[in-house]
Order: sequence, then C-alpha cells, then structure tokens
Amino acid sequence: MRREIIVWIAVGAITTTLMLLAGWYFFIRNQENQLTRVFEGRGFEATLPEGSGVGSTGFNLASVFSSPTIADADPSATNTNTPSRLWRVSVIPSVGLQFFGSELYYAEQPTGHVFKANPETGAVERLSATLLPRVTDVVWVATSSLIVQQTPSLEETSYFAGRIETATTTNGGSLVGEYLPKDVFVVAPAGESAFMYGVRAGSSAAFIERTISGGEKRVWTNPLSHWIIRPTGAGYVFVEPPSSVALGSAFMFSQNTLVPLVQNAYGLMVSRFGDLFSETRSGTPVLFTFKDGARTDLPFVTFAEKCVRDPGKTTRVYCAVPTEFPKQRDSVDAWYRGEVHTSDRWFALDTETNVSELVLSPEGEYGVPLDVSDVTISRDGLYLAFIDTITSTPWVLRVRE
Amino acid sequence: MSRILFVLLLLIPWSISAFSFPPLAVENPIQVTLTPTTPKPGDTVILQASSHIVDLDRSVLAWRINGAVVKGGVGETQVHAVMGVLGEPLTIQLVTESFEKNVYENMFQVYPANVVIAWDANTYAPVFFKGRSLPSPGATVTAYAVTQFATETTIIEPQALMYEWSLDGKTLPGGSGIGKSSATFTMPEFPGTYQLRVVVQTTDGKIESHAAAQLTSQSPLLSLYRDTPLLGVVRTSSLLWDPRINDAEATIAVVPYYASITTVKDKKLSYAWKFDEKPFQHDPNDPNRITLLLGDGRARPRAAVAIQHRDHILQTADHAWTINVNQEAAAANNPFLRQFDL
Repeated sequence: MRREIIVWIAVGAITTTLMLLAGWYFFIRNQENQLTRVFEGRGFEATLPEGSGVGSTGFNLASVFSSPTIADADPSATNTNTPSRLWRVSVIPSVGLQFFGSELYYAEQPTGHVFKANPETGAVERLSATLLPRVTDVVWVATSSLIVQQTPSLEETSYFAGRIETATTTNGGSLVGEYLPKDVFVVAPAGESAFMYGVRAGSSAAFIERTISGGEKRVWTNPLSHWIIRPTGAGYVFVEPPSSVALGSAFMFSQNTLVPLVQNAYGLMVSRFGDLFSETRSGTPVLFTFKDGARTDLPFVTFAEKCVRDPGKTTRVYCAVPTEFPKQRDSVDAWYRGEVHTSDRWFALDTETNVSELVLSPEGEYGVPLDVSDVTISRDGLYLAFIDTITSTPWVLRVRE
Repeated sequence: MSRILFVLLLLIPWSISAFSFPPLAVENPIQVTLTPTTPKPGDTVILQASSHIVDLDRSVLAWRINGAVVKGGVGETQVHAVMGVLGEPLTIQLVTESFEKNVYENMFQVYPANVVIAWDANTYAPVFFKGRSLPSPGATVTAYAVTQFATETTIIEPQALMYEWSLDGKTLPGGSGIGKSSATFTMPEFPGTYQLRVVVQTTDGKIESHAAAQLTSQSPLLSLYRDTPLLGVVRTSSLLWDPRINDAEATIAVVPYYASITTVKDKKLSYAWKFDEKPFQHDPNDPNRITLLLGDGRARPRAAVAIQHRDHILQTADHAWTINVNQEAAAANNPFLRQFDL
C-alpha cells in the first residue's frame, strides 16, 4: 500500500513537472514570437538594401515627396526607362546640379546622398550613401570632390568639403572629408581643383582660395560679408545680393581688387557662369550681357538665374522665360522668399542675329508648370538641367533631337 | 614840416595796403565748368565756358582737348569730351579772344576716378535666403567704398585716399579720414529713404570722386513656411504662395525678414500667435514655430502672428494667413485615424 502511494506520488510529480515544462516551453515560445515581431517592427531583421541604383532610402523618400500632379512621379520608372525629352530625374528635392561629360551629378536635400544620372539611358546611380541631412547647396570642384552646405536650422549652416570614395557595393561609396571653419558664409568653385570661400573674421570677411589637397591662400579681406560669387574665365564676379527695391552693383575681382562691372542697378542678378545679367525696372527684369565691353540688352523678360549660355556655341543662350511675370515691385525679393513662382517656357536665342525660338513649353506640352532656377548645361550643349523651385526637384531637358 | 607830414600821410595807406593785400593780379574772368564734376573713366563730359565780365557770345573761343583742337568759333561756349581710361587725364585748353581783342587762356587737367558704394544691412534673413537683407529702422549698416583712382604712373591704393561719409547730409561720426574706406552706422529710427554719400579724394585734392546710395528702411516682413522633419524649413515655397497642407499635423515657422536680430529666438523679438482668432500659446524657447493639429474638419483655419522688437519700437509687423487644409488627404495621412489592412 505504502509502495503504491509512493509510486502514485512519483508519477504525479513527474506528470506535474512535465506539464510545467510544457507550459514554460509554450510561454517562452510566445515571448520569442512577440520579440521577433518587435524586432521586425523596428527593422532589426530587415535585409540590407542592395541591387538598386538609388537604394531603398531613395524609394522611401520618394514616397514622401511624390506628387500626384506629375505623371512621372514613380522613381522606379525614372530608373529604368529611357527618359522623355523633359525628364524629372528625381521626385526628391535636390541641389547642386552639375554636368560632368554628359552625366548629371546632384545631391538629395534630405540625405545629402550624391547621385549621377545619365540622360541618355535614364540610369540613376547613387555615388555616396553618407548621410548629411538637410543639404541646401553643393559646389562641385571635380567629379569626386565637392563642398556640401548643410542648413539644419534657419541660421545654422556648415560646409563639408568631401571626396567621394569609390563604392564597393551598388549602394554607393562614402563621402570623406572635413568641415570648413564655422563662420564660412559663401563658397564658389575656382578652376579644376580649387574653390574659394568667404569666412567671417571679427568685423570683416576673409576670402580664401583652397585646393582639393587642402592648401590655402588668403586672397582678400573686406568689411562686407554678403556677396554672391561667380567664377568666370577671367576671375570672379562679385555681386551684392539682389533686391528689386535696393540698388546693387557687380564687380570683377581681379588682382585682389574690385573693378566695377555693373553699377547701381535694381534687382541685379548674375547667371551661374557670370556671363549673363539681369536688372529690374519696376520689378520687371531686363536681361543683358556684355559684348566687347559694351552692354547689350537681350529680348527676354526673365531673371539671369534662369539662363545659360551654350558652351559649344557661345552666341546661343537658353532662357526659361515666365509666361507671366509677377506684377510686384519687389519681384526678386519675393521670388527668393518663395512667395511667388512662375511657369516658364524654354527659349533659345542667337545673340548675333537676335532671333529666338521656342524650345519647349513644359506646361503646354506636359501640363507641368516649372519655375526654373540653378540652370546648367552639358558641355556638348545637348542637355539642360535645372531645379524647379516649386518642388525643388531636378529636371533635364534635351534641347536638340 | 607840414610838407613832410603830408608825404607821410600819403604813404601810410599805401604801406597798409601793401602789407595787408597781395599784389593785384589780372585774373582770368572766364570760368570753365565740368558736368559731371567728378567724371568716371569713359564718361562723356560737358565743358561749359562762362563769364560775368567778358561777352562770350561775341568772343572767339578755341577748345583743345588733349592737345587737339576740337572746336572753335564765335560764341562756341560748350564742348563735349570723353574721359579716357583710368590714369589718363583729360587736358583741357581754352583760348578766348574777346570782342575787345583781349586774350585769355584756361588750362587744366581732370583725372577720371570712380567710387561705388556697396553695403550690408545687419538685419535678419535665414542663411538660405539668396536675396538682400534690407535695412529696418534703427538697424546697423556697414558700407564699403570701392574706389578706382590712378595717375599716369600709379594706381592709388584705397588706404591712401581720404574719405568723408555722410548720411542725409550729416557727417557720420568717426567715419571720415585717410583710409576710411568703410563706415558702420545706425539707420534713423523712422522709416524712410536716406541718402548715404561718400566723397573720396587724394590727399593733395588733385583727384576727387563721389558716390551716393539710397537706403530705404522699412518694417520687418513676415513670411510663413512649412517646417518638415526631412527638409527643415521648406525654403522655396512659402505658405503665402501655396497655403495647402495635406497633413493632419503641421509645424509652421514664421521668418521675420529684416528685423534687427541675429537669431529668430532672440529675446529682443516678441511673438504673438493667434489661431482662428484666438491667442495661441507658443513655446517660449521656440517662439517662431507652432505645431498645429489640422485633421479635425476645419477646412480653412487662420493663423496670425505679430512681432515687436524690444529696442526698436518701429520694428513691428503682423500678418495673417488662411491655411487651406485638404481634410481628405489630412485624414489619410493621420496615423491615428488611418485604417490598416492587417
């Protein structure tokens, strides 16, 4: 009897232990499943992005910025299809358009990732995957050297002088380099392998030329610290920041002195390559250039920043001309503040014969109003690239078939 | 004795006269004026001869510019000339034979020179703003004179020139002297247009030029922008241009252009926000931004903000904006309302 009792107790204990172990097993398994779901939710189990030219970050950002009003908003379409004549390279706000050969280089504003796009094939490739948030400008020194301006807040800005290291994967390489001094306020390219920057130093500003390798030379000091600097073949053009309600002047910077180029003009603006100017009269722009030292007015009613000269045929000028110009005296100021936008049509002008022709009306032909700025052109004169300031997106236009 | 006294009395006035005044000289009664008075290189100048004594309309005038006769004849009192390049003086010679057959000669040189004023107003604009910071009442402005001065052999450095700065006719304190190529001053506290002027000359006064700039001070100007996590302040598109918002929650930032501050958080600037006409409490540490919940059915809420500068009473501005909320899109983008297919 006693033995039976002992057997029953032992069997009961074993059964209870097994049941407890089974319960523990199911409890632990449930906890593991929950943890796995949490990890997945937090992205710990996600596979590394690969195999795409623009990367998964690009697709995620594209979903944030894509606009239903524009037909080619799908980034995958831009990545694989031969682009149309007017091609939106990315739906993500971008800066720093620059052609090297026939390929367009640019950087995305939210990430600072650097890309190159081929307008012939539509291929877009990420060159740098180094995160530099809130980029507001890029100045190119060479194909792999650039200065990135970051603006994290309204009054903070920093400049990162970097070099793109060759990518080892399809996700893009790294951007390595260093930040320029804290109080830099302007950067401009200077030839093939150097750039100039202006830095506030006490009550004045110092202008320093720096090579890619880091060698520096102070070239000028000045009490003013608001200049727009454009490189030209003969040096630099220094322009006071434009305003339609204040007179400004442009100067040629030569042998460390300023020589007046355009004096006391309202809304004085200069094109990216320093060879086309505009001023405003009662807010309406007048475009002009210099031929043999004499001013020549051009027939387009547009800002100089919307124009570029064909490097292959210097008598040919391309301009984005607003279909209607904002009727306000402070047109330049309001445009820079983002309070007015225009819908532009592309024209070409032969400055010798003064004959102009319509190249493309984006709104008329594609139903897309584009407010053009930051214009650049490929060396063969076949492609124009620009930023649409309404969406801040980069576009390419093939000007000849 | 009386004779001696008479002779002395006659001599005294002569001796006083000889002591007090230089010997009398026959002055040229013909003046030649130049318009503009301080020409730049390449300027066309008008040379005008005039006289209160000689009747020039009946006189024969012969003009030589840089040695060459350019005009001559009876009553030819005006001639045009073009200034040369920097460092190349214009030599003007005028020989006049009056109706009375008196001959007078005027000869002088004018050096072309140039001054241009460039200036910065130390008022607020965000770093991404490519336009000009405009002066507001009481704001600090720095001006710089770009000079082009040269003789035939030497370019005269800006440090070797004399400058005299004035604002609306009043000399700027401490802003004048040799080498004072820049001046920093405060704009008057009342809005208006003021003329900044600088007169520059060589220390010997031989070459002179001047320049003026109109400075219009105005009240600060407010513009409203979306502030997004990815881009920060959306600089290229103000809500003044496109007031549409497609999100249930939006942070908007006001930018007080041209206020005398260095940062939007400057305690010298106070902000008062209103939302749908009711005061809206903002974060005192982040006064220029507010975050609004918009997906609650209000299609066109109204945001208003007023600013006031503590030190400059006329640096004030207010503005109201109607925001256009796309409720359908806002609801679709609201993570707390969105229906997920799980």
